[in-house]
Amino acid sequence: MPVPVRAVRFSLPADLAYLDVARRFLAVLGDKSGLSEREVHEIQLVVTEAMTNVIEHGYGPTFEGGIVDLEFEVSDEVLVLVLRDRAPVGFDGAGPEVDLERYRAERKVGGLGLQLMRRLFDEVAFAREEPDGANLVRLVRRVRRGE
Amino acid sequence: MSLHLEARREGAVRVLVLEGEMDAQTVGPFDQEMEACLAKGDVRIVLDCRALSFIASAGLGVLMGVLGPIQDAGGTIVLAGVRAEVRRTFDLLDFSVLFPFADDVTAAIRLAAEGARE
Repeated sequence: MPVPVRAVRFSLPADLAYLDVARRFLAVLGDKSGLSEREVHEIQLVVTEAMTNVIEHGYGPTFEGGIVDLEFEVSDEVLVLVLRDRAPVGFDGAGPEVDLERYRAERKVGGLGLQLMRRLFDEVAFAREEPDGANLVRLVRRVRRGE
Repeated sequence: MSLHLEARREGAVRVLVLEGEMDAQTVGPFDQEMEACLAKGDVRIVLDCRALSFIASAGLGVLMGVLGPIQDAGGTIVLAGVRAEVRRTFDLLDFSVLFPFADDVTAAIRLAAEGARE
């Protein structure tokens, strides 16, 4: 029987080497919550993308000691993921849909992560929390058990 | 979890065996290998994805980055034995239409050799 996991918070170093740790943790939480394998994979994918954005673009290559806080909350109907960081650079979520032809022609290798987040979650919101200056990414969608 | 990469040759086709998870942390060696193939004109490529359990946009970005030049050089990238969760990531970005998929490595090698001859 799934154990109801209502809300879990955990923190990881803002380091690409911890992307797989986030995925492992989310796999356990998803399994405990009774989510399908497909849904767990999709959660792992969007968190990987969101964390990568924070680490590569928010903190950047020279920042040391950054932290990413993650929240995982699932009810019978709604799944909410929140990533919070204190990187000097936030992200407003602006960005066009990826144009395949242009992407191919320009050998462009960015912008895909945001596209994945938008395609997998009903709500993808970026914000800066005052007064402490935290950057926030909030992803919300309906739980799709058994789909 | 890391990404283990092994390369071998099957006739005119370069086969890269990918094992593990491909994300921004682990994609580096794959990126270098694909660029090296392109630089050497080794453009008939099969990616053996049977043991690839996860791919993030960092991996798809590398593939999209080399696809055009490889096709322009008369080559192709055929994906073999792709697992459902990895295929799903391709589908989500509408990238599946850009790559030939084969169920097994033998079929993929044949496709890559034929595709490059056309």
